[in-house]
Amino acid sequence: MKSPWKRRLTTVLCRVLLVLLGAQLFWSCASPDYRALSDYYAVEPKTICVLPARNMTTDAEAPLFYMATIGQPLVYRGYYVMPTPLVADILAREGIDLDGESWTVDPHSMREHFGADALLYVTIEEWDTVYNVLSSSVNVTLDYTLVDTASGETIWTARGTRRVQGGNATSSGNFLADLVVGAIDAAVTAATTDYVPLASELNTEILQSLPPGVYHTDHERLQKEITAWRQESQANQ
Amino acid sequence: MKTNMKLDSIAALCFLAIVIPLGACRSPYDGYGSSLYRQLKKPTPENQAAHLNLLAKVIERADRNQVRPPPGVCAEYGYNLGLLGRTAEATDYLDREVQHYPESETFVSVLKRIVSGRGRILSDQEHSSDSSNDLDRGADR
Repeated sequence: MKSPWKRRLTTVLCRVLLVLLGAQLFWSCASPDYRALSDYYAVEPKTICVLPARNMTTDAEAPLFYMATIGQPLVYRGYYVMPTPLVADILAREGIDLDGESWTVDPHSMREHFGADALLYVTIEEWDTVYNVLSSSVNVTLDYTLVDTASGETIWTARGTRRVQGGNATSSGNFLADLVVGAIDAAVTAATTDYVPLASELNTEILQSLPPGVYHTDHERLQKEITAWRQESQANQ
Repeated sequence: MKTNMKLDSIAALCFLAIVIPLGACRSPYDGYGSSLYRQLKKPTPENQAAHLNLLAKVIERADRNQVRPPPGVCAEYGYNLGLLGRTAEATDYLDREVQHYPESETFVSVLKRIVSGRGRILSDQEHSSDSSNDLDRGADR
C-alpha cells in the first residue's frame, strides 16, 4: 500500500517535470523576431557600462543598493559588464554623483574613456511600500534603456514591476481587532520584505528579453539562425 | 503493486532530474550580489574585508576549475587591493582582467591610473591645474 505522502510527492514531482518539459517545448518552438535581432546584432555590444540609476522614488538609498543587483544578471546574459561599484567610484572621482548626474554624460565620451559599447540607463520608478490600513504591498518598478555609445541610439528597452502583497488578514468579526492585526501584519510584511531581492528577481526576468551577448551559450546558434533568415529573406525578394 | 513501483521510479527520476542539475549549476559568483549589498549598506572595514575575501575565493575557484573568473571580478579585486595600497598585487589582477577579457583594456587602464595615483583619471595627461573632468556632458536622457 502506498502511503499518501508518497503519492502526493509523486504527483507533485510529475507535475513539476511536465511543466518543465512544457516550458522547454514552448521556448524551443517559439520563433524569435529575427528582424529585431538582426538590427540589434548589427550593433552587437560586447561591453556594457551600467550608469548609476536615476531615482524617481523617495528612498534616497535605492540607487546605491540597486547597484548590487544588476551586474550579475547582465553577465549571465553573456556581456562583459564593468563592475557597477567601480564605475560609480570613477564617476564620483570625476565629481559625478549617484543622483543621476551621470545621465548627462555624452555616450561617445563613455565609449572613449571607458571602452563601453553600450550604456544601460535604469530608472527606479518604484522602490517603496504602499499601505492600505489592513494590507501592504512592497513594489519595485524599473525602466531599462540600452544605448549604443557609437551612435547614441537606443537599442533595447524594457520595463517591469515586482510586487509582494502582505497583511491581508482574515476577518474575525471584530472590526477594531481586525484593524490592529491587519496594521501589524502590513507593517511586518513591509519591514521584513527587502527590496534588493525583488530588484534582483526583476532584473533576471526582464533581462531575458535582452538578446544574448557574445559569451552566452545561445549566441552562436542565434547568429547562425539570423544568417539563415537573412539569406532566406534575400532569396524571397 | 507494480503500478506503485512504477510511480516510485518516476518520482525518483523526477527528483534526480531536478536536483542534479540544480546542484551542478552552482553560481561562479558564489554570493557576490549579497556580499556587495552588505558592503554598500554598511561599508565597515569588516564588510569590506569580507567582500574582498569573497572576490578572492571566486578567483581561486575559477583557477582551480581552470576556467576564467566571471567578467569584472579580477578588476574589482585588483582595484580594491590598489585602494589598500597593495599596488603590485593590484596591477597583477588588473592585468589578469585584460588577459581574460581583452575588451576591458580601456576600462582597466582607468583603474590602473587611479590605483597608481598618477595622472588624471580619464586621460594620460599628468596632473594639471585644470580641474575640469574629461567626460563631455550632453543633454539629460
